[in-house]
Amino acid sequence: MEKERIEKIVNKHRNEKSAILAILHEVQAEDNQLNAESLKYIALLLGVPYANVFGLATFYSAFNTEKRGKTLVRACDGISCHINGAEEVIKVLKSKLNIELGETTWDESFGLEKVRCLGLCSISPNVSFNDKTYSNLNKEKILEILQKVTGDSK
Amino acid sequence: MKIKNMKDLDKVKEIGMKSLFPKGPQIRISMSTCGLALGADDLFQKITREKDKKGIKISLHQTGCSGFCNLEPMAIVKLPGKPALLYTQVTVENVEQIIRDIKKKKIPQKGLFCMIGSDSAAAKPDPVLNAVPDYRDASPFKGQHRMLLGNCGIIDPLSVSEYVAMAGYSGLFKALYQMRPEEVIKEVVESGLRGRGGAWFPTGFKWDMASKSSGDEKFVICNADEGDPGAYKDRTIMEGNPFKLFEGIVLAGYAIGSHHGIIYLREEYHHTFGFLSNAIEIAKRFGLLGKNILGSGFNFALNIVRGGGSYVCGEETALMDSLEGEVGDPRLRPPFPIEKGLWARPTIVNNVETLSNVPLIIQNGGKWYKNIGTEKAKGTKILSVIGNVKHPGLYEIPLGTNLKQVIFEMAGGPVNGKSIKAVQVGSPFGTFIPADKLNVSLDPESLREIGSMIGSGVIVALDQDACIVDILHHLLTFFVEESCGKCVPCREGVSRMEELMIEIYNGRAGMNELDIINELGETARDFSLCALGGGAPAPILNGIKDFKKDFEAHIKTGKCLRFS
Repeated sequence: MEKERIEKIVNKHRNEKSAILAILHEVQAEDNQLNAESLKYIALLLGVPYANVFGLATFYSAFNTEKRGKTLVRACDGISCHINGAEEVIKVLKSKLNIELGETTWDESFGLEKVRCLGLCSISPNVSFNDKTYSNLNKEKILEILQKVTGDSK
Repeated sequence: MKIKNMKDLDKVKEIGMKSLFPKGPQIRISMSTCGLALGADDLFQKITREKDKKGIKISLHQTGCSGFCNLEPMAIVKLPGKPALLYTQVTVENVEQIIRDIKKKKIPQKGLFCMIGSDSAAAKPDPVLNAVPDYRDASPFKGQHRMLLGNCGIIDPLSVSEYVAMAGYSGLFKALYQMRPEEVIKEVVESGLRGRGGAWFPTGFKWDMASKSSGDEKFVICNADEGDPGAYKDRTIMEGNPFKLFEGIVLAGYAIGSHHGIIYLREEYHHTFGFLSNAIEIAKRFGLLGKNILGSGFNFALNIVRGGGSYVCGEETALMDSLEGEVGDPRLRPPFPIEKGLWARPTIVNNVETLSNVPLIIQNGGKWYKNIGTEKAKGTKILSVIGNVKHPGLYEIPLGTNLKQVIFEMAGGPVNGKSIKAVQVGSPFGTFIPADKLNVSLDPESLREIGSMIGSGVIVALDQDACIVDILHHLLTFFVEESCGKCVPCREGVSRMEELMIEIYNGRAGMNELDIINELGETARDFSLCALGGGAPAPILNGIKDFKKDFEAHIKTGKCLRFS
């Protein structure tokens, strides 16, 4: 990401090291990734070693050091979703998007991730597409949603 | 407006009463994460359009989640002179009829579920409602003791006045004006409140020690990193009644002499983050956070920090590392957080549910509170009952309620004529209780006696089609993914257990491997640094012991009972 935009975010948090998680969240929200260049610049601005910042970006599952898809698909695999058939839903997502968990489609339109519990356990299985969540899913429903969503994005 | 004295508080209360008991018709739509997932936003827009089109004045509000997401989208319709009525699974297609009925002063019938406050004086009896139960008698609300969740799904969660109308902030007002900090602590100690995040540590004792720690700066951390898969009680409180939580946090700050609170919110709760940030700004405008709270001269600032999607950060010392901008590694104790916590300052870390109990304790006294529950475990607990039951959802029950009653009566038992095989209480770390041993009291002591735990209250019901090997495999993958890697017993032990479990799952290993899993499990249980590695083996060891048949099926045939 451009240095000015990173500076703006870091300045907003008054260059405080403790705000680093918030800074990483905001940079990722704008750039859809936390690449080495951005992480190095954040480290420089905060005066912490790059290794530490890289460590954070890889320890926390919310962060991605590679470019994520424009639409991030998060399939819930909490215990309730598991019992109610999340496996089947994830299988459909993988085969229709033609990627594995943690990967991004070739045109960078979709990324696929597994999460442990979206907190919607009595309407499981759940999958979220960016900020929109779909619940009570099964094979047919997820196919229908995918058709709608992929149609919209193309 | 800023609330500066009793008169202001009464004025706000009056506004709240008017909004809760309006003169004209009113509709409330439940718009929490779950409501939105099931189309509440479309519903809200459709109602707005339809009422404008028909030219009727209807006041429109939003509410939070009541804990039964499967009944969403919910709506409350209040007609003048009638009790408030709760509707479930309301769809956009129902809207025109609802608006037409309201225009004719008729009670809409489709989706009518129960009445709320049918005994209120303002409500006249209506023959149409004869067969409609009150909310307290309608399953799945029946049998609950909803003192924390009672307002969730009913009041507008972003309306300070509605919360005040439901006796909100009377506890904080009382504390700031009539009680010394040590008296607040005394009430909490008297109440017997213990930590609801899963550790069940006495809250009053923690506060007392933190108040005596020396230091000019102290912190109150609200642990909202609700990571146990299956739990969503904290989300429901935060989205349904956030001011109650804030009131509890400020009370904690006043009690221990802290002026700074932080809510550490789990990353997965995207909607909750924006929602709570908004609620904090509103509380500031009313003088309920920030400088000179309620005009008392007490200052308290509250911030929210989003986590990074790491389960181990729910452990209090790892959580503090995360707040300091580090990787979340559990710390060795002592020193305990009450002496050296965040930035090496005295710190208390309390769960959302724990803190939400505090306003009630201060309002009604510790003596009142300790009448609820068992001899040793006081108050209520919000259970998240999920899996193979008819009504999955949140059940707030007095501690000591029977597990069998919760599963079969309150949650409606298994579906499709199947039978219950086992129930995991306190998931993910709790053990599996076989169907014939469900006659047990839900409180930490009784569960410990049978080798189980209540944890944060996640209860997973499994029916006859479930396979314990499949569930254990699922749990182990979770534990391995979330292990921070700091200590060997957890990092190596639990991952070896997972590898062996996969072999067993696929029918490539025998009974010998079970012995190795047992040995690894005992080592991880006894020698891990924190509760993740220490707790992970319990369901595995118990599952191997009590559900041999499931293992035999995998070992002999490589087939999972779940898919047979």
